[in-house]
Amino acid sequence: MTQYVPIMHRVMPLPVLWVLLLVQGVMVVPFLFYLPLWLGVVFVLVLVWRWRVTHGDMRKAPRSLIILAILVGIGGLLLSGLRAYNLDSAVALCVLGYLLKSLEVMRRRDGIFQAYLGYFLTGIFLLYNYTPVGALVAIVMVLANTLALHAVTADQTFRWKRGTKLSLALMVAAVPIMVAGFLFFPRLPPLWSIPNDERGAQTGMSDEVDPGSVASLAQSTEPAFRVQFEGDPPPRQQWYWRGTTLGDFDGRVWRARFRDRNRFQWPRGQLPLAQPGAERFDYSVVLEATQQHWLYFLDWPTQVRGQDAYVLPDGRAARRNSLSQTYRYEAQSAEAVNWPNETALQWYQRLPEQGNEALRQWGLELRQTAGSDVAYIDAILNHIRTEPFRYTLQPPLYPSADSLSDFWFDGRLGFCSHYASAVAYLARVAGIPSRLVGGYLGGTYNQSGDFIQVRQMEAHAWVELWLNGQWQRVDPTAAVAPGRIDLNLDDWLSEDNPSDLPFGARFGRNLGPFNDLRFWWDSVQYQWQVSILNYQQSNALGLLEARFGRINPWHAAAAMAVFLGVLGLLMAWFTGLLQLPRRQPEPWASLRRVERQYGDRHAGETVSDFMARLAYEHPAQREALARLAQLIDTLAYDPQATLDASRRRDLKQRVEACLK
Amino acid sequence: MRWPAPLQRRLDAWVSRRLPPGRQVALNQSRIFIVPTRQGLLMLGLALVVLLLAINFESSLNYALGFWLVAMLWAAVHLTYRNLSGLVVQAETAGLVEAGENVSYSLMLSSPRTRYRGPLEFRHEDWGQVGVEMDGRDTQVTLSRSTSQRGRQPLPRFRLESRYPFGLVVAWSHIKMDLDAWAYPEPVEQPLQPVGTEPEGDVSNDHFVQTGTEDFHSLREYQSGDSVHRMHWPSFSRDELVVKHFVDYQAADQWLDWHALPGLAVELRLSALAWHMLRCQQQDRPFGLRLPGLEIEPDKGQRHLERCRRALAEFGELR
Amino acid sequence: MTDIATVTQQLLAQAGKVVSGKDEVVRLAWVAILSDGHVLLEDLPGVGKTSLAQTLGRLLSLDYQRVQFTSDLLPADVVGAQVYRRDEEAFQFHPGPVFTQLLLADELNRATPKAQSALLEAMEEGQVSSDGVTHALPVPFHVIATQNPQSQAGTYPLPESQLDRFFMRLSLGYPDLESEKGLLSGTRGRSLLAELKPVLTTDQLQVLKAEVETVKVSDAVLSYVMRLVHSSRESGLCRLGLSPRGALALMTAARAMALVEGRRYVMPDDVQRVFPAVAGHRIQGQREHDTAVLVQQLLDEVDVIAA
Repeated sequence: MTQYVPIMHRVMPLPVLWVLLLVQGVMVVPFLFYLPLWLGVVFVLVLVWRWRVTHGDMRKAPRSLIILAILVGIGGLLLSGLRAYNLDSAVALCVLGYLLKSLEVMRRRDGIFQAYLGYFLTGIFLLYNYTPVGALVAIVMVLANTLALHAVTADQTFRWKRGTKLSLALMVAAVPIMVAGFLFFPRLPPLWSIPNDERGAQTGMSDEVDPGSVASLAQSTEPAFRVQFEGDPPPRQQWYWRGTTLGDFDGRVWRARFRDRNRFQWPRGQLPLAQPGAERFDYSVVLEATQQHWLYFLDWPTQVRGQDAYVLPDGRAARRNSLSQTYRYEAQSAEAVNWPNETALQWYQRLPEQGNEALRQWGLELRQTAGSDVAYIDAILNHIRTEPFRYTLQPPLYPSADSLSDFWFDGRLGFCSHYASAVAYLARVAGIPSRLVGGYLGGTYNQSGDFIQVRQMEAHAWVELWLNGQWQRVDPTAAVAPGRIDLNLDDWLSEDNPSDLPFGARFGRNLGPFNDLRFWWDSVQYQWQVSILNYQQSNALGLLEARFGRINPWHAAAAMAVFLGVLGLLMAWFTGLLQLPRRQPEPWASLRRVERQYGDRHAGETVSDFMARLAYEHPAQREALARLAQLIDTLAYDPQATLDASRRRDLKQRVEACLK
Repeated sequence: MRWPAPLQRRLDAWVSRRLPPGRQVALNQSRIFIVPTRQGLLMLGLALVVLLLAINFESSLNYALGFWLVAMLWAAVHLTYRNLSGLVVQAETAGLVEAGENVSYSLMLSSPRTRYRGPLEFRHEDWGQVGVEMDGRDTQVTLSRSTSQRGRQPLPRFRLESRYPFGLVVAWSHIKMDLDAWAYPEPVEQPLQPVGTEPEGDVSNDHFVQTGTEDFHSLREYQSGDSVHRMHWPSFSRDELVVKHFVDYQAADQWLDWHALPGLAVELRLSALAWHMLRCQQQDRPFGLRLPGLEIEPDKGQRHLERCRRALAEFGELR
Repeated sequence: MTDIATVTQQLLAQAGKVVSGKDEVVRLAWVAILSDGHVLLEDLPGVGKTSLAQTLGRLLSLDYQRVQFTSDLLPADVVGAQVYRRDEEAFQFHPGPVFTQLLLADELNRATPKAQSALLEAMEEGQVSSDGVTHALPVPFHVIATQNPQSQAGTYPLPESQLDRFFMRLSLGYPDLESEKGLLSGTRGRSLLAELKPVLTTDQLQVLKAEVETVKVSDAVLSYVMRLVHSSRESGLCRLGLSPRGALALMTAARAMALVEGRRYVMPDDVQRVFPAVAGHRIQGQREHDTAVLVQQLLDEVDVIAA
């Protein structure tokens, strides 16, 4: 009698342990790009331990070692700056657990656990990397874990070639249902809000701008967003993509009125918005994840359609939840708007009591000589044009409390934000309401994809002033570097000052094929974002919501249950557990009707036997039953009898005669 | 898993109606059952968690991953079903052993199409779990279980299952083969009594003669391999190579008769007959067996012993 | 005048005069003859087996011979032998009683297996061979064999393979009250036999036989027959299921029965009517079942209409 060891407790053979180890490597390495690198060191240590195991020392790691490893690991996480409770630290902990778990993977159950955790980590990975390349990596991860699952099940009979073939077969066979689920399952709003849903660093325009912050953005060639216009795009000079408006100045830093910090005090309901004029643009934007709230627009935003997005009264549009995924929205801008409801002009005139005294004096004097507000602004811009101001990506720091004065009178080297900041300050000195606008200027039109791509490098800041009862854009950069308005930063710099360019932007600028390849890849990514990442069966969802009211968790559960139910039924049907009720053909259907009234026919009874028995039990129907039996027999067994319309009628009559 | 008794009875009846026994069982759709394992349900749970990731983090690719996992579970049903589908289990031979020993049954697995079917497991509480890897057309599998009583030892209804290749679903069939092993009674010593019906004829006619060492019988021509000690030297002097031939005389054939054990219970009688058989075999004496309704002529040798043991094992069984 | 239903009516009416109250048995025997088969009558002595055979022979205008099988009967007594003719100085074949159109083999199981198999071979092959020369039997050739189940002592029961060669096994049983009364009161009996008028010539019989093949069988009925046969083999009720030859016989008999009933297509009712006679001697139960019970059980359990 062999002793029965439950399957799950059986020790796995060496080849399977090797597979599990390899799969672990496949799973962990991609995460190292997003998590502290020393987790790789942990992986190497685990590898060493497993090496011993696979060379015959089939012992579990001692408990003390495991506890020590856990403590060191958590300590390491804390030292790596993952102190706050957020997604990053949770994932790091998860990966650490995944690594340490393998110290004791010996038995089948552990192996299965590892594979399942692997699948889950694949899902986590997709939260970080949702590019086409990331999807490919995720496919490899799924394959690896499926292989692991197979290896654990196949046990002694595991063979690499067969295992890979079967795993691929499983994955490929599953694709049609996966696609169906992906296409038709309703996209639900989050069931609960995720606290601290931050993945990676913030990018893009922040709601706080100090003069240096925009310059750091300009070092990056990463895409910021892509825009597709319905109809012709506006002229290149108009490509001012506004993101944040910053009206609160403390002498150094400009802050927005509605910020991430106070997002629960943002206005709701009927907002005092600008009234659009006649000329409008419709376009859709796919925004990369910024971990911020701001959406980008042409002047002036009047409407936005996107999940959870709305227009704020200070010339912005925002989303209450931060953008942790690429995000697609449709927007409408008007060339001109009316501002009947601007109520915060006072606020846009406020200045700190102290600091930048020299600049303030200079401004006040200039205002006096200028005569009017418009002339004053013209004089300022003229000053910038005529004096030796320079536009540079590498401005000096102006660390003192009078940083604007230092820039204006001494340094005269600055980036767009320096100029904008100074001009907005000077406007307020003269009592003109002003604000800084953070966003992007320019972009590259991609012919093959018919969209405009805007990179981080195009980051820009300019000024808006309240003149003649409306906000007007004033871009001091145009005064210091007129070329920048017409060209993207790298194009402009490469003519003017190539050494300022970051390396990545310099590389391959003049190689035609490389450029083509870049454009092609950009358009692939755009398509990916539009059709995969931001796939919305908006019509279907709209229909659902119109019918059942707003989608809530219960609806989600019901939708899932329906999906699984359909799948289960298919499965049951396939395996023969479930047989579809077939509509019986005549004359059996007629026989069934008689059976329903008088009780079932016994198995061994022929039709005439059955009818004879019924006739015995119900003598009144003797005649009718015999007539019916005769017809049924003929129809059922005479190959020459056909069931034409008259026969069918006859049959029906005879049945009804019996059922009276 | 045990159900309440009435339910279990109905379940058993249903199973045996759906899966009647035979010498050869071909597994098809009506015989194969298939359900997700606990591991498979866990996979479903995992897929739900991934879908939660998708919903709460608005991660489109996680929708795809979640549905992929669900769909893989579904696809695994097909892959696992293929392992059993079309498989033919054929009863081959079953052993004859002494009651109390382990008896083995041998089955042949064959497949109309050469297809790798992975490890198949034969499960029954009597032998626990026997695995066999099915690669190609034919594979033999031997199942063994202990016996406790004399008589027919049918191969019990067992469960043939496959979780290959992913363990997400288990496909199984309950198989009842029409295959019987037999257990003959354990030998117990009991004296035989002479039976009146035995014809008391001329015993010497029935003497059994066989080559031996005791009595001189005749001279015969030398054959290579004969012992030099047996050379007939007087003949050698006449240039003839002749050896002395010795024989053993034996008593008349021993009849092991059912009626020679009066007053004993049935099983004990059979045990006693088994004991005497074994003794005859050890002493290399021929014996015959008489049971009510059956008579086996006297003979010797292992095959004869097996035959008689089989007769004892089958005694009282309807044929 | 070969409308088979009318012929059957006449046949039954005429036969009823001799073997009264046994319509169904006569009908089945008639079906067997239409199917070109041989009949085994298993019954007690004195219930009219011989009368039935003689009646059929007379009504169908068949030559009739009777052989009483005994333990000392030799094969040559059945099939015939080479006899030396002194005047011609040569051996000449002297045909035995088997050379007839309807042979009554009385108490078949009393003869030795050798004699039995001589007859059975003749039945199977339609010819006999004696000393290397084959002699064809007349057409049609039908055997009605009787055997006596009660007196098993001194008999040689037919082995299963031989039983299979009989198309049907019939049993007359005791006559019912009414018939027995008639039997006892009247002087009628075998003398009546001479008064019977044939209803068919041999040629007409051959034409009718050919018609059996033309009777249609629908898929539903075919499926029912297959299920019956399959069930006899697989259900575990039977140790020996219906052989392929038995299945074929069942199909033919059902066709002939349909024809006798005046139909050109088979109904399950036909199958059920012939099933006990065709299958009864070909299957064996797991235990010492009465096969009649077994056959009924099969008929009861197998659903007539496929699910």
